[in-house]
This record gives sequence, C-alpha cells and structure tokens, in this order.
Amino acid sequence: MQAGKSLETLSVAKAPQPSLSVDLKPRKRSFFRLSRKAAPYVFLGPYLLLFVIFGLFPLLFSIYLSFQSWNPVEGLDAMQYVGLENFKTALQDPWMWTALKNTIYMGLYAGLSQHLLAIPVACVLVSFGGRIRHGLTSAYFLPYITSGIAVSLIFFHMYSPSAGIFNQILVLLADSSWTGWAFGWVHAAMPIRWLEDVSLIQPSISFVVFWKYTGFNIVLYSTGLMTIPKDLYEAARIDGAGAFKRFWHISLPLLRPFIFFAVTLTLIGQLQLFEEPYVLTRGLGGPSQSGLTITAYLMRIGWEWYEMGTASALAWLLFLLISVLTALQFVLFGKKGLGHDH
Amino acid sequence: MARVKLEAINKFYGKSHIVKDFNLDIADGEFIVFLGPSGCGKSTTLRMIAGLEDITSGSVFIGDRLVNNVEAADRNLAMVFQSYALYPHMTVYENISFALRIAGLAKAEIDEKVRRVAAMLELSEFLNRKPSQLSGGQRQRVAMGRAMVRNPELFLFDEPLSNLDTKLRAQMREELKSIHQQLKTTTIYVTHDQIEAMTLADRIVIMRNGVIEQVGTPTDVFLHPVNTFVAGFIGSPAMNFFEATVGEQAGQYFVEKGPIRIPVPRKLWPKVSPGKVVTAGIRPSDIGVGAKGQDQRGFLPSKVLATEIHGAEVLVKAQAGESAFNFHVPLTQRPELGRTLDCSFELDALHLFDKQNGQSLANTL
Amino acid sequence: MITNAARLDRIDHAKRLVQKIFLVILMGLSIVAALITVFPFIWSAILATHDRSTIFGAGIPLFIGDHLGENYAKLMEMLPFWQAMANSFFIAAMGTSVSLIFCSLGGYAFGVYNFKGKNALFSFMLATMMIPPVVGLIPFYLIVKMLGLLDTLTSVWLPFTATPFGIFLVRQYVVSSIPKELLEAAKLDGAGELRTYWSVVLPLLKPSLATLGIVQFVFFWNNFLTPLIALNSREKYVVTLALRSIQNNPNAPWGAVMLGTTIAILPLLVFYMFASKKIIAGLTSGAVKS
Repeated sequence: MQAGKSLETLSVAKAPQPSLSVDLKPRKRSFFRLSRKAAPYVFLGPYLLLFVIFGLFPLLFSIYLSFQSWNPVEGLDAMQYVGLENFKTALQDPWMWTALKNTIYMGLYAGLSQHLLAIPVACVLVSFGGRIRHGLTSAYFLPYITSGIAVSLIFFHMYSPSAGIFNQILVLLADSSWTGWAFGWVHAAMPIRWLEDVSLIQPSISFVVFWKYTGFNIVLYSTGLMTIPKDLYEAARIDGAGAFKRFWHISLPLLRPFIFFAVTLTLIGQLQLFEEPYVLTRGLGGPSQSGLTITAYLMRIGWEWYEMGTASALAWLLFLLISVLTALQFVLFGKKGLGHDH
Repeated sequence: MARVKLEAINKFYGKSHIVKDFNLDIADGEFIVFLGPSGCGKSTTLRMIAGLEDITSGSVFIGDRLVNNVEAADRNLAMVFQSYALYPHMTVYENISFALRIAGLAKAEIDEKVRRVAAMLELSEFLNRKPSQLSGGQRQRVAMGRAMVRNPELFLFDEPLSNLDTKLRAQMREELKSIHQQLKTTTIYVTHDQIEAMTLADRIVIMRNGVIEQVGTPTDVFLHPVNTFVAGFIGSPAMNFFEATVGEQAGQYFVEKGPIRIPVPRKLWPKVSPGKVVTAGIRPSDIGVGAKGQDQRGFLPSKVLATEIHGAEVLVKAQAGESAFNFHVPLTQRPELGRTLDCSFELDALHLFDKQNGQSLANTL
Repeated sequence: MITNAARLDRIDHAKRLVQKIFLVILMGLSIVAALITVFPFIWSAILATHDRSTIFGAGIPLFIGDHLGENYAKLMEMLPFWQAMANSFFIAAMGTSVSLIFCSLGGYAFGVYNFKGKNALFSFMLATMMIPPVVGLIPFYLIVKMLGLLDTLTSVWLPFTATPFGIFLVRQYVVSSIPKELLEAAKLDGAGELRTYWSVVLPLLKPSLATLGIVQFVFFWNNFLTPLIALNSREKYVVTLALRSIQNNPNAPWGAVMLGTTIAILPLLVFYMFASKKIIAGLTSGAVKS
C-alpha cells in the first residue's frame, strides 16, 4: 500500500512547516473514483443485472410461453402461438384438478394443525422461564432449519410398512398388556401402508409438513405474545379474569396481526408444497396420484412431458390462485386483525 | 489558514427559504460563532460551507478559492459534529488517522501526527480504545483530534458541546479557546448556547429565520443590540421590555407608561419626538434596589410578585404599573411578596427600539 | 372479618397449588413434545449404525449398532457422497458471501442515496418478493440453459445472491442504525463512495449481515428445486439431490441412506447448537419485523 505513495508525499512532508505541518493536497486519487450521482446505480448494479436476467426475463417470458405450444427439445423455432389453449388444457385436465385438490387438502390438514397447536404452545412457552423456554423453542424450531429432502427421507423410512418405526411402535403397543386393550385393531390392520394407501397418504405427508413447520409458527406466536404488555394481563387479573379468559380476551385479539401474517405465510407455502410429497411418493405421485401437488405436476408437465407452454400456463394459474386466496384472506381477516393492532 | 467569504448565500429546500441572502467576511484566524434559535439556518449555512449541502445561490470563498463546486473533501476544512460521528468500529488511533490513510500518507508520518495530536488532547493512553469505551468528554476530544490532525485551513464546529454535561462543557470551552489560540486556525462554530458564543467568539453572528440579525463582538451584541430580537435573545434572564410613549416636558424627553416615567438619555433625543410609541428595554442585571443618587437614573417602583432562589442571587419577578420586570437581588435581601421596592437603573442602560420594526433607536439615522 | 380473611387465604393457597401442578404437567408435556420433535434426527443417526438385518428385523433398535463402517462403505460405493457435500459447501459458501456483498451494496444504495427512480424501484422490488418462485421456473431453466450454465454449480448460487429480502433487510438496518453524520464525516475525511462503503459502512452492517448470512446459508444448503432442474450429472450433484437419487434404488441400503442423511444434516445442526438463538431470530426476521 504505502511503498508507491510514500515518494510523492515524502517531498511534501519535508516542507518546513511549523507544528502540525503538511496539508493533504497531494491527495491520492484512485483511478476509479465513483461520483455520488453514479454510485447508487453502480451499487445496485449486481441486483439489477441478476434480477433482469434471472427474475424479470423469466417472468415475462413465462407469460409469453403460456400462450405458446412448445417442446424445447425441438428448438425455439418449434414455438407456436396457441392463444388460450394452454390455459384451457390445464383447466380441463383432470390431473390438474386432482393435484389442486390434493394440495388444498394437505394444506388444510397441515396448515390448520400447525396453527391450532402453535398458538397454545406459544402461550405455554412464554409462561416458562427464559432458559427452559429457549431450550424448548430450539427443539421445536430444529426441523425448520433442516433440509426438507433429508427429513422426508427419514420419514420415508419411518413410514415403511415392515421396518418403519411407526408400525413397530403400534405393534409394541398392541402386544403390551397395559395398552393392548386400546390397540387390538393393530394386528388386523398390519402392515399399515402409510404411503401406499390412498386414504393414508395425504395425512402422512401432512404430518411431516406439520412436524417441520409448527416450530416456526411457535416462534412467531411467542414473539407476538411477548409484545403484549404485561400490565394488560395484570389489569385483567384484577378484574377477575381467569387464565382462559385472559387468553381469549387479551392474547388472542392482540395476537391477531401475527395470526394473520403467519397464516398468510402458511397459505403461500402450502400452495407451493413440493419437497415433502416429492420424496415421500418417490417422485411418482403416490397411490392414485393422491400425493401429487400442483408444483410436482407442473414439474412433470414441463420436464417429463416437455410441454413448456402448458406448464407455464399452469404456473400462472397457480400464481392467480395464490393471489386470490391471499387477497381473500386479507379481506376476511386482515382488516379486522390490523384494526386491533393499536 | 484562510479567510472565508460568503456572498449572497441563499438556500431553498423545495419552496422553503432556509437561508436568505447571507453575507459575511471572516478574517484569517478569526473565531466566528453562529448563534440563534433552532431552525434559524445556522447549521445549514455551516453545512453549505462544508460542502455537505448544495448552495442554491451565492458564492463561498475559502482563501481566495471559490469552492461552490469543490468536493467537501477537497475544501481543506475539518468539521466536528454534534454527535461527534466517530467511526464506532475503529480505535481512537484509526479514527484520527483515517483521513491521513485515505490521503495515502506514509505510515511513519501518520503515526507521528496522530501521536502529536493525541498528546495535545491528552488522548495518548486511549489510542487503542474504541469510542464506546470512552467518556463523553474523551469522545469529544477524539472528534477534535480527527479534525486537527489534518491541519485544515478552516475548522467547522456544529454544536460540538451540546452532548456534554454543564461542567465538562465549561472545561471544553476553555480547551477549545486555548487550542484556537495555539493553532490560530479560522474557525466557524455553530451553537444555540449564548454562553458558548460569548466565551469563545471573536465575533458573533446572530441569526433568525435564515437572516443575519447582527454581527459583532460579544461586548457589542450585549451592550448594543440592534433590535429587540437580539436584545431579547442575548442575556439571561432576558431583557425586560415594555411599551411606552415619548413625552416632552420643559425641553426634556421622557418615555411614559402608566406610573412609569423615565427620562430619555440625552444622546437619543434626536431620535425621538413626542407621541412616538417605542419599545423600551432594561436588562435585569442593570436594575438595582434603592434610589442611589437622583440624576441620570430611571425609577421603577415595583411590587414583588414572586421570587426564585438561584444560589447567591434571587430572581425577583415584580410589576410596575402594568408591566412585568425581572431583576436580581442578593440572597440576603430576598424581599417579601407583595412589597413594593424602589428599583432604579442607570439611564444609559435604557434601550429604546422602534415599536414598528423593532430596530434600536440608537442605530437609526 | 379475620376468619373470612383466613379462609380466603386458604382458598388462595389451594388455588396456587393447583396452578403449580398444572404448570408442571404443562412443562412435562412440552418436554415430551420437544423429544418427539427431535426424535427423527436421533433415529436416523441410530439407523446409520445398523445393517439391513436389524433395520428390517422385528425389534426396535434403540441403541447404536456396530455397522457404521459397513454403511459408510456402501454409501461411498453408491454415490460420490463427499463430492456432493463439497458441492453443497461450495454453493452455500459462494452464494452466502456474494449475497452479503451484493445485498449490502444494494441496501446501502437504497438506504442513503437519493436517485432517480428510487422509490419506484424499491416498491417494485418489494412487490417481486410476493411472486412465488415456481412461476418463473421454466424460463429460469431456459435462461440458465441459454447462458450455458446448465449443469454448473454457478447456476445454483449466482442467481440467488441479490435477493429483495436481503436488500430490504440491509436497507432497514442502514436507515435505522447508520447515522448520516458518520457518512458525512467520511466524506470530509476524503473517502470516496466505494471507500466509505468498504471502510465505514460494511463493518457497521455486521449485525444485519449475520442475519442475512444465516438466512442465505440455510437456503443454499437446503435448496432442492433449483439443483433438481439445473444439475444433471452425478459429479455436480449437491447433497440433497444425491440423497434423493438413491431413494429409488429398489434395494436401497437404508443404513447407508440414513448415514448420508445424518451427515447432510450435521453441519447445520452443529452450527445450530452453538447459535440457535441467532439462527431462530435470523430465519424469522422477515416475518417478525413486518
């Protein structure tokens, strides 16, 4: 750093000046000196460039594609304008409706159970001391940070009909003299095919999703609960409200903006559900395609059937669905929720 | 070191006119204080000189160089901010040397300068500390050191002492003064604290609403305020004002309001005429109790409404006729409430202002 | 009067006892729930040490078995496993560090500069956060292909290094925690725009960059969708893709698969053990702040 410059500055340094000598006149000018006007554009350059290439272009091109019929293997020339044909195909496709139904059912199972459990658990957690609260929170949150693929593989094995631990525990419970009375049905039902039975596959997948995301919601709700001032509870106590009344009349209403937000996140996430069902059905959709989600179906149309146009149309339909449901949720719960948030 | 010249500076933020036609000539080595209430444009003016704010119109000269379009860093000035703006992640040493490192000075040279400045400011033992590990006064000194190490032509201070407690503030004022006497660098100092202005300034520039009200030495602005604003702003407690009418009796002029009747000092006779309504002003410090001597004094028989003990002195709030007056008496002479005191003052201490425009009659032609 | 007070006191006492018991029960339940939550991880680690005979045997193997070496050998035989781990590491490390630079630059630009189109661009950027990534997936694949990035690790990290979330996060931090005077002081000290960013702003952004780093690292490490469409040769596989690829093996050696899964989870798990508070706060920061 110094070697190059010391020469030019030295000469100045030697100038005989009293006390705090030397001014900074021979200021070292970087050959690349950014003007203040240009700086923000340069600083935003990487974002703009990457966004245009990997964000904006795909979005616009995807709109274009959704009106084309195109097999990418045949090259760009094979593109053909087909108007709304792709949307029509997608909407008339019975598998699309199956996938939609599956996605919504699993969303309801996993989504509702997550929030119905997370709220009371959060209430219990915040009543514990800091240390134990943090320990428990860390445990509940752990699944959220791990790869959906990895945990789904573990669950895939746990659901295994012959060697899976779920079935083994059920057999153990049926054979035990303590619990046998309640589990008499087990042996007749064995082996339970969690992932191959049409009636079980959706709850089985939903359970994994529930297990993975409940902790996240617990943290959100705990944070929300901790923003509620303590004196509100104390005031309610003096007014004679019991624990449940305090929950119902203070915690719940004040938690409303958090519930609204957490539910919105779940909604958006569930409609794009992919990894867990993909692994648990080995990418095949499960029995009678009951584990096929919209995203998985979209991937199949695009990358297995090479119908990029239809896949794009389906993607936009999914986007539309997410927007409508989010907007609906906003209209139904949002305003009221925000109204409470003083 | 350099003289600084500000010519017809104007500053607009959108439609609001923040600084209006500001003209000032600052001599080489002078210590100038911009004084005024908050929002008077003093900081904006300082920031325009620094190059941190665009100048809407007018010219700023530092030395003989027009610097309107010169980058802040190239104006060869240094600034001390109200919040000190020390780099929190750098040590004291790194803070002080930052500008030198950017300028690309040799390591040994930087080291020598930093150590010399640190010694001057008694910071030598703190060079490896972070700002968060320093006291308020020490941080203030680091900010000073950062400015001094560059040996600029011009120092700018933006309310540098307002984050310190009273005691430290007094101490830092003295240090600032002595540093200025050593370095003799032209300095512009912005404050709303008149004590700082009085103690530090060679000349004070009093501003209001973007306009210079008065420029003068501390003595000047105190003794000869040019208008009611300056008269009321300088001095604590503030000057007592009352509205009065000029009268004449036997060739002698006086001002009159209810039972108050005060002779107009002879030097002001050419400026008054009977029937003229004026604003009269008397500083609390000029009022005394008891009628000492007869001539050349104005009398204010005042009824005591309230008293406030301020240590050795008592602030008396009293009423003469319909007008309220404040003045001081020694603690041992604290008057009873409701008593009427014979207050008086030297006639020379009487300030008269035009009622319409607030200008001092002493200054008008 | 006194007896009444005493009676009330007794009731109060009983009430408190009931409350205490209730609290203990709740705590017990919470701990059981926590154990159930972490059980799958322990389970996969245990299975990683067993061979087929015990995994598919009648009993539940609750203790560590002695087939770890065997499973490891099988895992290596099935997959270029360490290659996949290395790829994942490379992607996460590159992606995260470049994210920190790009997002801090962008956030700083939005936070301190005034420039033409700033507000429009900022709102637009936030709006794009709402669009689910699946929507542009197909053209994303096409552009990756067009740029010749198909089956390169770059395609999996580079596109996600300037995220609206990251820029937003930094911008909020800049606005709330970096005083304007500090930047002005740097300007007077002669620092240019780049120097100010590098020497003054970047060091002060550390807290927000820690949050962003966590979010990005976890995202890159766990990402599956992009590798699935963009990578296809085995030596380019990231670990999620590699694990998923052996699932369809008809006689999948489950001990080996579980070993691979456990190892794949391990880096984040270890990190989590030391910094769970930070990680939780980081990953929920987007949600909690709004």
